[in-house]
Amino acid sequence: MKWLPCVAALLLAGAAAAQAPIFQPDNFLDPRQRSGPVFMSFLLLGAGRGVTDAFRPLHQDVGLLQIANTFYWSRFEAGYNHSETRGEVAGGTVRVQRCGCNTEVYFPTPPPPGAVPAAPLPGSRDTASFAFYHASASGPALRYRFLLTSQRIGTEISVQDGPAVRRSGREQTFAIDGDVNFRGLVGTLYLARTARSGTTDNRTQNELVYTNRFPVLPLPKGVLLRTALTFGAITDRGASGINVVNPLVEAFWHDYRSRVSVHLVYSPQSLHDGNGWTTHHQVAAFIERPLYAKFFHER
Amino acid sequence: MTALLILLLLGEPERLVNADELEVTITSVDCASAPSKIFAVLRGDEEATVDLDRVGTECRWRGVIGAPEHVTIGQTTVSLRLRGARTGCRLAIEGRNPTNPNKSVAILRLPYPPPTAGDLQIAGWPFPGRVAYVRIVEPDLDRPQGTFACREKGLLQRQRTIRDVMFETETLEFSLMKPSLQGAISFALKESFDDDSATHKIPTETILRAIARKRGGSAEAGYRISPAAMQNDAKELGKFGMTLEPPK
Repeated sequence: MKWLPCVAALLLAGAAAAQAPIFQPDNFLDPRQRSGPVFMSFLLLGAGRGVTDAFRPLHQDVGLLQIANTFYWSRFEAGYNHSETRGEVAGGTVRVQRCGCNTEVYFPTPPPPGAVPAAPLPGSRDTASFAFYHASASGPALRYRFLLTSQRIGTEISVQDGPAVRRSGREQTFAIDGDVNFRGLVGTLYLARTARSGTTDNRTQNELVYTNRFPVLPLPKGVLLRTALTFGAITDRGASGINVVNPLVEAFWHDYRSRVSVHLVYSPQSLHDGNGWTTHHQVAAFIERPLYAKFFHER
Repeated sequence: MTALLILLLLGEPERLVNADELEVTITSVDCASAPSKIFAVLRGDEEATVDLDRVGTECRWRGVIGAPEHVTIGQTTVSLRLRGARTGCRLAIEGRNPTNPNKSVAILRLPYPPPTAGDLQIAGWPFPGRVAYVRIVEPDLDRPQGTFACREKGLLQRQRTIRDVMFETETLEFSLMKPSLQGAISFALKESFDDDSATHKIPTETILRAIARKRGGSAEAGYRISPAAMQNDAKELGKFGMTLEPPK
């Protein structure tokens, strides 16, 4: 229960839609459902245990708060999300020690190339997105989306017998995802490049994963059960081929009076690196509620 | 002169006879098991019904058709709900009111239909304010003479039960009562329910999700759960006085 204080402290949100799929609220809105342009702002608040960030384990419980703003018009969607994540280890600045030797060796030593990299410490993150919907006369609408995510990473390097040195770095992710509806396969193909610079643990990884969504199963009391399976390949993991397998089970309940949606998610994520497969049992609970919604003129 | 008379006779417009009373006679001997109160659906509109009371111990039921409704002889379709049985759609014939010979009575004479109908309950939440349904009815199975295929409509608002459904032969279509949310879905009831229960249930979610899937929506489309789409749907439905909230 160590994460409870984190939640109470209103940890600001980790969000990047694709980087933390377990906290991924769905803002999909079929243009055929709308009568005109729509702006919606959502607040998401939750906590997670064993979660990963872009398929990199955080090794700590986290709490999060996210504000997601999306403007829908015609067949387009533009979004801006700000999220704050907090964990047991304070985020914002990484503190490392540098050895007094001639080479740049830091403690704690970051994972070597080919091993699953360390995720950045929980902190602030911004995501901008732009999407286009393709909707045929019949059948589900398909969304194609561009996302740019940025997170600042500060590093404080302490050196023996010397003043501490501060570095200002960042991690950026550029992602493209597109919905797929082919012969009963309904899902999203996701391609991303995540690069970290200006830190003592600069890494770059490319991700190509596919998330297949299965039909939602209605349960008693208005609870809906969503299931999905994600698999794909990530570079710089010391294992080629499919090195991510990630099923997801989510119980979803929406209260129409308060407009609050409650999500309970379990998502075991298996990652393969040079040392073999390891599974991280992600559990998350979060709620989301619209903060503001504006429905513009009728078509 | 004769030719002119024939032309005049041929050209005379058909005389429309409106009856404000309906009388049903069951001709088969098994009418004793029929309930004392039955009701008739006029013009295929389940919102326009006539309550019929049994006349003594006879196999006869009578009821007054409340204004402004009436039965136009030879035009208005009538079908009966007999609690556990129903008839196909029929046309009434004209009869005379025994107490007032100047007034016409719409008369149906038919054998008792097989008691193979049951109630269909729409269960569960969320439930929008109004969902329209259409019953696609085949002619009577055993004695199709005098009956014909028809479509009967109704509205699920407060009432959640569709009475006397022939699960073997009827098809039900549901649609949301809003132009931009329309997209009727059909349930072939025989395929939907494979047991022999007298009463069956369809969860509301099944209907809503099927409608949404048909119209390509996302909130309930079966693969996505989008609070944004739910919020949008609630707004769109609200314009028409509908709500996704359960009743208090």
